[in-house]
Amino acid sequence: MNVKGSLQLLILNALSRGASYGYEIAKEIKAKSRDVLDFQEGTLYPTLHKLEKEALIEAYSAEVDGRRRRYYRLTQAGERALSEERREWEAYVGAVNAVLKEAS
Amino acid sequence: MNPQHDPAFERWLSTATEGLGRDRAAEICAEFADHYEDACAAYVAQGHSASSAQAAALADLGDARTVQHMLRRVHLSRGERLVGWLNWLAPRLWRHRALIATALFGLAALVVVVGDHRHWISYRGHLDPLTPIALAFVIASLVLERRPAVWSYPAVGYLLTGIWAWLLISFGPHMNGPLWNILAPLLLPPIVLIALSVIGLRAWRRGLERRIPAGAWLIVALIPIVIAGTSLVQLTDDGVIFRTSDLAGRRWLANVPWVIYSMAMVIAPVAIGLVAAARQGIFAALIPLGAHFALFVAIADPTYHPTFYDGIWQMARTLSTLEAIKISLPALALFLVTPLWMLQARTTKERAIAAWAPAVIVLALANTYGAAGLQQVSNPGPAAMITNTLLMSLRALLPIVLAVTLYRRGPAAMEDPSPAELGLDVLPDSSIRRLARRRPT
Repeated sequence: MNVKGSLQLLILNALSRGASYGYEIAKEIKAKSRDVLDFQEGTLYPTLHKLEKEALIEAYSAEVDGRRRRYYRLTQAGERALSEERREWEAYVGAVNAVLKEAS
Repeated sequence: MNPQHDPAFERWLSTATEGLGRDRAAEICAEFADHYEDACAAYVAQGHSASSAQAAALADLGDARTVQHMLRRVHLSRGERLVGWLNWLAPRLWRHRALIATALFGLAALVVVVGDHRHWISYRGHLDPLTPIALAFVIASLVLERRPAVWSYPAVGYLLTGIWAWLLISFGPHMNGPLWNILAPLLLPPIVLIALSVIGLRAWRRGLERRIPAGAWLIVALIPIVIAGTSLVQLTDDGVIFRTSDLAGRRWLANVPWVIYSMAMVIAPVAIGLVAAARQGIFAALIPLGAHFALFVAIADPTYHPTFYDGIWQMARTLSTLEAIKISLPALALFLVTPLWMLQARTTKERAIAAWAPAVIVLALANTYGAAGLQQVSNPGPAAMITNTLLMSLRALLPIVLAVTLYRRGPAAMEDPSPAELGLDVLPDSSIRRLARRRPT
């Protein structure tokens, strides 16, 4: 299933559990959705950079297990944006479900 | 495993980060390289071979162009994106410059010829709108490529055809005096063209490895016969009349200068093209062809010059719409169809056909249509039309045949210059061309 349009929410959600890096974020989204949510992993980075520009996340370099990686973490603005987007998403899903239930 | 040494991944990276600033691209490349390395390691841990892990990791990254587009939207301002797009476009335009320049010039010729054909053929004494455009193409070619580039040939050919008209301008505005009607048309073009052709022939001979083909001599011998023939044949309402009376006694001597002059008009443009042909291949045929059509068929057409005819010297006949069409159509074929056809030709043979086919088709049509107008006959009849078409087409085709014969027998460089060398790597082998080459099994 394509995640186009919801990748931003998924990334913010993944980072709400702590700092992470691109590959780990991609794996987490795929694993948690049991590979239902699929996306081109290359597109993750432009989205991360966009969120960084909007100051919803911030990047920093850290060396873990001898490897220097670029990590991302949520900012306070990012936490607020996540709550807002989550609320909008739940309202959207609830509305779609309501329509589908009525139809069946 | 160093992902930077995987050529497929390097290509992906290069595409994805194309157009971004160097520093930004380096940061992003490092991030993608980390991702790729992690992904490869994970696949290997699952039991994949190294190469299959790399292929799977690359597939997971997805389409590099999509990523490139997204990265540009994030990291570049609108202005930077525009500059990036221009940077992307410029080399592609440059690679296809031969096609673009030729098409643009052809388009300009089309507009000028169709829009103002009377002006265009009116001795070129005026500075017609196409002349500055042609000049711009030639100057651009000299500035950008430091030589007359292939893509400027149609423009060069067009300017060459104006040489004698420019010379005439310096003689003053009296276009109807004896200088205009006899001296200048008869002497100046041959002097200029023959001087250029001597240079051309010398340059060509230096690189020649084989003898001039017998066919070329045959064509040269045919030229005066055909030219004399066109002077002797006249169409009337009753059909074709051969004016053999002009051959009686010493009357035939009167037409000798005209025949010689006409021969120069046929041979000289071919010879001029030899210099360029030696360097650039048969594409240079555009120059002699252009010169031929405008100088010989149009400007120096026998109907506009004093010829000894029916026992007396006769002057030019009036311009007519039919005449304009007769000239405009070959001009369009020359400046638009022929160059475009030649541009996609890959071999000498294909270029030769490209030089021939449009001209042959158009000349046949135009001469058939123009027969009545040229001879001012209301109802020439089929025999007269066919005779006129054959004679006029043959006369116009002689320099084309001569050019192709000589160019194909020229120095090795003349045979098959690389399309890339000529700026002609325009149309890659399209499926249509591949299909055309495929033989039934």
